[in-house]
Amino acid sequence: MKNYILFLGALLTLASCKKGFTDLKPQQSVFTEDVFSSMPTARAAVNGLYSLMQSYSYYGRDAMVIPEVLSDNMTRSVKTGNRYTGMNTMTHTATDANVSRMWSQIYRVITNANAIIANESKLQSIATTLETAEVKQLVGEAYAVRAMAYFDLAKFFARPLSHTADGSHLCVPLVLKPITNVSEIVYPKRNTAAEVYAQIDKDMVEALNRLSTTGDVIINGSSNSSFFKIRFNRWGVLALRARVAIYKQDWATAVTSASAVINSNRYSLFPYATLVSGFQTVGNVESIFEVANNATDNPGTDSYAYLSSQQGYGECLATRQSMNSRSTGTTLSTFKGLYETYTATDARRRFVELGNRNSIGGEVNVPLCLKYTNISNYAENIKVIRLAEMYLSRGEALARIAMQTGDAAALNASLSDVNLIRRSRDTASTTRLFAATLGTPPTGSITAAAYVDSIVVERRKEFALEGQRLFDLNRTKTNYVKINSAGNSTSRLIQYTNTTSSYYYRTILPIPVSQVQNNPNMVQNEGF
Amino acid sequence: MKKIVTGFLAAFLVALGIFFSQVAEAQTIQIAGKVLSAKDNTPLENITVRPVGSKQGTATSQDGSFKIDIKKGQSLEFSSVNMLSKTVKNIESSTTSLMVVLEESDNNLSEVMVVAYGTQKRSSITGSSSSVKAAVLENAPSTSIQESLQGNVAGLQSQNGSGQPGSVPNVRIRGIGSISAGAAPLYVIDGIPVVSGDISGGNSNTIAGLNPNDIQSLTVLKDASATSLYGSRAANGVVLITTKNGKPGKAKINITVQQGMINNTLRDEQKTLNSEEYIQYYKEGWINAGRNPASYDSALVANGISRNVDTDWFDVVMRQGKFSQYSLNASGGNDKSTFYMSGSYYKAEAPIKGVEYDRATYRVNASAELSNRWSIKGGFSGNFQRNTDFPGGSFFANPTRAMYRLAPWLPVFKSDGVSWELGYNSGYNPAAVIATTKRVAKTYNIGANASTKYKIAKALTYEGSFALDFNHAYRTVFNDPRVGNAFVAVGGSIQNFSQDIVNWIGTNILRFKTKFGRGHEIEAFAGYEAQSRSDVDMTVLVNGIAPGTSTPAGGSQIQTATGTGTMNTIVSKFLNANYGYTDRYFLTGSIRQDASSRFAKNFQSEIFWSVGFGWNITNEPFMKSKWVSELKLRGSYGYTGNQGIDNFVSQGLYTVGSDYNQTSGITLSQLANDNLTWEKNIPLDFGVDFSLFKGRLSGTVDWYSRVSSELLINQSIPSVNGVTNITVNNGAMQNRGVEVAISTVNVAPQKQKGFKWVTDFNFTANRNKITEIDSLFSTTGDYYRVKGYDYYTHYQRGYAGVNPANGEALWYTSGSKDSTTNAFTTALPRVTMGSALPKFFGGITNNLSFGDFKLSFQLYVFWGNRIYDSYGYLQKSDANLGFTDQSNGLSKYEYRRRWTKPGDITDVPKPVFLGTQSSAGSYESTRFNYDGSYIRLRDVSLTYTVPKQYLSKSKINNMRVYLRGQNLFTYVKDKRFNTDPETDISGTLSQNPPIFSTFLFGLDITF
Repeated sequence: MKNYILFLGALLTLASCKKGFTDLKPQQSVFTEDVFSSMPTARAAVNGLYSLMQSYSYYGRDAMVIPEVLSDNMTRSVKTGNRYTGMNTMTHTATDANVSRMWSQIYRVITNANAIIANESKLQSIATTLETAEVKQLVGEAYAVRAMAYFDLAKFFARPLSHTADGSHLCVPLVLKPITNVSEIVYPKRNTAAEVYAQIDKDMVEALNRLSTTGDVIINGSSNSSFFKIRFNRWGVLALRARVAIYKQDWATAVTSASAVINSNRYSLFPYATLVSGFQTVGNVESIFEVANNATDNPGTDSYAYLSSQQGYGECLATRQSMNSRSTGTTLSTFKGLYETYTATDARRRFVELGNRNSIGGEVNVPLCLKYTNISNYAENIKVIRLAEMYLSRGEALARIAMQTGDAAALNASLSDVNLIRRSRDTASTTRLFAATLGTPPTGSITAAAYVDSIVVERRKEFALEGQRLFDLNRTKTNYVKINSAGNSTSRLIQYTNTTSSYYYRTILPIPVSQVQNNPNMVQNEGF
Repeated sequence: MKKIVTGFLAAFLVALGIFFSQVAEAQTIQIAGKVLSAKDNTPLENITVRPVGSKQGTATSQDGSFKIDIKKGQSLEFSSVNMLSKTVKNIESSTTSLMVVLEESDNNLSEVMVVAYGTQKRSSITGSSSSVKAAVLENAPSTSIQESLQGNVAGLQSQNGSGQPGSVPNVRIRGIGSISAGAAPLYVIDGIPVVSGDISGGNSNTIAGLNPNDIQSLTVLKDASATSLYGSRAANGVVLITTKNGKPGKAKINITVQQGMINNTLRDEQKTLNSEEYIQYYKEGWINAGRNPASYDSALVANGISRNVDTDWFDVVMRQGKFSQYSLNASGGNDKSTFYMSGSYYKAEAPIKGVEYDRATYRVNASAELSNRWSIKGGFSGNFQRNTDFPGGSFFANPTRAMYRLAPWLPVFKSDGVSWELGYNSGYNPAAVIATTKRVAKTYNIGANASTKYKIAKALTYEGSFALDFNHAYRTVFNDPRVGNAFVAVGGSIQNFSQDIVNWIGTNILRFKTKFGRGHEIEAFAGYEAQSRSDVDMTVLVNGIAPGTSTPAGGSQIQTATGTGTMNTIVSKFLNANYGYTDRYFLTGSIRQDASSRFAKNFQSEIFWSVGFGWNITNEPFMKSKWVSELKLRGSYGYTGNQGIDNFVSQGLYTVGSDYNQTSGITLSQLANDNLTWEKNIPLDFGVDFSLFKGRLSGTVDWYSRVSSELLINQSIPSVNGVTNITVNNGAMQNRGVEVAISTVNVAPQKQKGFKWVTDFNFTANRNKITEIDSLFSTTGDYYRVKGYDYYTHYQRGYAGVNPANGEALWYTSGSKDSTTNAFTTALPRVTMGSALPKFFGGITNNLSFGDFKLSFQLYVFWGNRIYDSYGYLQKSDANLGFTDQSNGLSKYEYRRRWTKPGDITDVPKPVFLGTQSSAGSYESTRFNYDGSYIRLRDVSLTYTVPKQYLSKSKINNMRVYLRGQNLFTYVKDKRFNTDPETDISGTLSQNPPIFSTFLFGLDITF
């Protein structure tokens, strides 16, 4: 009997260990409900937003490459690892893996931003007096990031705002509330372009209301200048607003916002002689907002640099006229490869120097993509917005105002902005500076309309390979020739007037097929 | 004291019996002799020797000898548990040298089987389980026991998708019961559910660390009654392994040596074309594309293609492999304590250059009776495995990919003949990869267990045990700075990964056993158990490595330095009861409550149960047949679970790793699911065990059904929610099938060493059916997962063959296959085409022995499945990619069958240079869906046992030499395969090393 008691006792002792034995905490995760209960986790959540942008499915590569490979700037080598196969021939489909990854990645940014925005009052309640300003900044950044993410989605997945007079065409679903539990999952409809752009504007206003007026960035409680260009500050948001305004054709806002950035005197243009090295410098003088990469934290072989570099995949090439095999529909002479848009003295041509494809049987003497080249440690920040854009955007906005209102002073202001960029990029351009007039142009001068077209070309030269070209073509409805891999098949003529052509449809991306399948409320883009 | 009394009583009764028999019959004769085992001629102890018709008899002693008095002309019966009985008829005169050889029996109801938490007499078992004969596992050349199980256990499907030695085979017991929660069985070794799978990330397998010669018994538990005591982990069946211990008696030492070779089994026509053939083939394509034949040669030059280069990439990648295995063990003991000790070493060099596998094992088991109430037992084991591999699948550095896909006109070396040419395949020249890349995975395992038994009272015993399963994995991946564009760019890289897994279990059991009334028996036990598993790992990746270095210290840039940890725990209580009545009727019930840390708070705890019955008809009075020695019906029903998902899946989480500019970042990684719970599995089983014609025909037939519901699945949700997938309980599946295992003694030896022929046969037919599934899960991807269909139903775009008139490939434009097109697009509809799961599979093993020779061979059949070659469109080029360097495979078999002229009926289209009849990258269609049926000569061995007379002067007790081969011959129904037809469970070929054949010579000595 004594033995029974002994062993039953032993059993009970072990049984009593149970409490807590199965209640475990993860070791590299934080429970969602704890994230906004402390400043360190809240700060980490904001860092997470930028880290998501680093992904090769967003600014790390695809958001930079897709607008180029779908445009007249970039083509893919015949020696290829089969990346961007559909896009290079304007035959991409809704099953394209790059497209679905990008869609998901951008929405990850948005939902993570939503959570920060929704927890503002909770954060303010735990913040010390000294931390109040930092909380404001963190939430302001979340608004700014969300605005940029929705703007990117709108450009990739929908027609420009001006596609319909009232912006009533479908854009992307607006999801603004945080989702943390499976019971909160949403199956949203696509909002209209007008609704999405209104939300973008609203978010930028909320951001500006919260971010420091000096543009300083607080990191872990104190101002830290090394984050000045790689986190959203006031100037970053204003620069974004200038860009959005151009797409909204809100020329006045474009002028005020760009002016605010230019007048901040925090940024300057690259000097002509050091344009290439200047561009490649981390936190360079011209950058307004960059997505940071460093040696231990980068997309590696999935990076834009690895895709471009002939020591890496090297399969994306810039275009040149001789690659065009198209002889009908447009003439060879009106098509210009990216390489031919530059004069020999244009410093920017050094980003597309001629070279050979590093592969047996690869192309010879073709323009290579050299904007991002660091594949030794990938510590190269992605330039999202630069000062040059402020000048060209303001220049374009002023020129368009001038054309609408007949304001000659605006045209002159525009010319001074655009010529500033031309002068600083091309030493020989003093003879090629623009002169334009509102009326019939005298000799040596062009019409305002032709001048505006030239600004679009100037944007092509300035932002080549930086993920802007397709969107400039789309918003200005500029017809173009898409070069396929040389010798593989003919190039495509894309005409914005031919609105039932499959190539026209493919100037934007499809909604990923998985997102149409798993959401009964989702409508596919036309032509897919 | 009691023992002495019992012994005395027994002796007295025997003496009394002898006395009475002597009194009754005057004409007695004395018979003496020996009983030996047919297997190895060793003496058999405790064999009952009894005159037919008498209730008294004697038993053989430790050296197998016996002495008995019988009536003249009487017959003597020799019988024992686990042995086929034998009768020596009508003995007329005294002898002192009667030699009797007994065969082991396979299906004996009095056999004791290892079951969940103990052992049980087979006659009282109500569940379905198969025990695997030690002979199947002993000295097997396979790296893992999972491979040895292939074709040897009804209801167990074992498939190895790769010839990589030491990789994890897919094992499924009674079909596929889960989608995302894991469908592999639970492995329990000496009482501890061990860590299984690949813990190094380098094609390793913890279970392969087990030395097959250490295994005493292996039981596969299949139905509810057999498995439910493993509750939340029982759904996919359980493989129970008990390791050897010594036996009382003379110490034995056993030595085994094996040497052999490993060969690739590819036929010549499965290999690719040579340069000239390719160049001609492409010229056909050039002409078919309407290009000018005159410009072809200049196109070759322009693309850097030289007719003078003819590289045989199979030669570059393959070699003759080598195999060796050594094992040594010693065992023995006395009536109070026993010991077993062993060591082994195994080495395989696969026919793919640079692919190797080594294993060293050590084990010691011991037991002691401390008193007549108290006994203890313990074991300690260690093993070390090392294997090297290459990247698989679509990686440029995969040599298997290279040998099928690199163009033969690409040179291995530059014109200097010594430096590698690296201007193709993204710089991954396979010769250079093989020479420079070092990917070494090492896994270490330490197992320790200790248990004690204490007899509290006559009917009550306490058992306590504690076991530890410690696993350490260490993997180094070295990429040379010269090879592969990605590594040239970063100056080479070294990655080190290490992982420690500490897995422990503590069990307390109280056993109760009693008999009461007339023929009532109850055996019951109650237990309490806690198990914990914690994992920690660490990864370091450096780039820019200094020449000659091989550790991360040699790197100039740290790319990754990270480590993670995770943990899960289970606490359980269980109760099991067996009731038996007069050895005829049996009832079993078990119940187990598990609480797991993996599930949501409200659902952590669940109760699993089973009931079973058995009816031993043989013991019924009405069942007295000469021909039926065993007949038993049984059935069981119950509820088991599956918790095979990641730790913390029910929780809402933000996860680290989203750092930004060297400050830490976290992002939402998982939505909380407050309702997440176990996957439910409801097995039902009816079976019959029989033995007919004095054991000449015995076997087991089972019908089962297994319904799995509330399947844990990864469900896709709109990614606007911030995550793309959630884990939910959704969907149900059913597996139904028939299992048959039959043993026949076709020819029984008439005398010692006479001709004997025994056949073991097993057959399994399982039907898997999805009975409920979310529509979002159904029709995307390569499988058609819709209600009513098999889980692995292939789903590809329908290939309609070749238009005989012009050689163009055709595809179906509708699911009903009534119209075709010659223009492939990804928009074409997919069609279902068979399943990766077989209609049936099974094995048949014949054992023939005569004199000192024994021949054994096993045929394995896997029939009625379909295989999809996911790289077929790149391995079977029709020139659509032009002169690319790395997608130019075409087997000689396909080449020979291509369309060449109008009227040709074939499924291989004409080549069209840069044609659009197939578009690169999205050419997946049923053209590459093959009939996966095959029959394999899985195992064959010829053994010669050296007769005792040659050994009498030495200390050697027994000596055998043998030749053994594995996979020596395979009949493949569909000739279009360009590799071996065995794939992993999913029925997809993915450029893995094919299954190889092994041939070896072995020597086995016992002292």
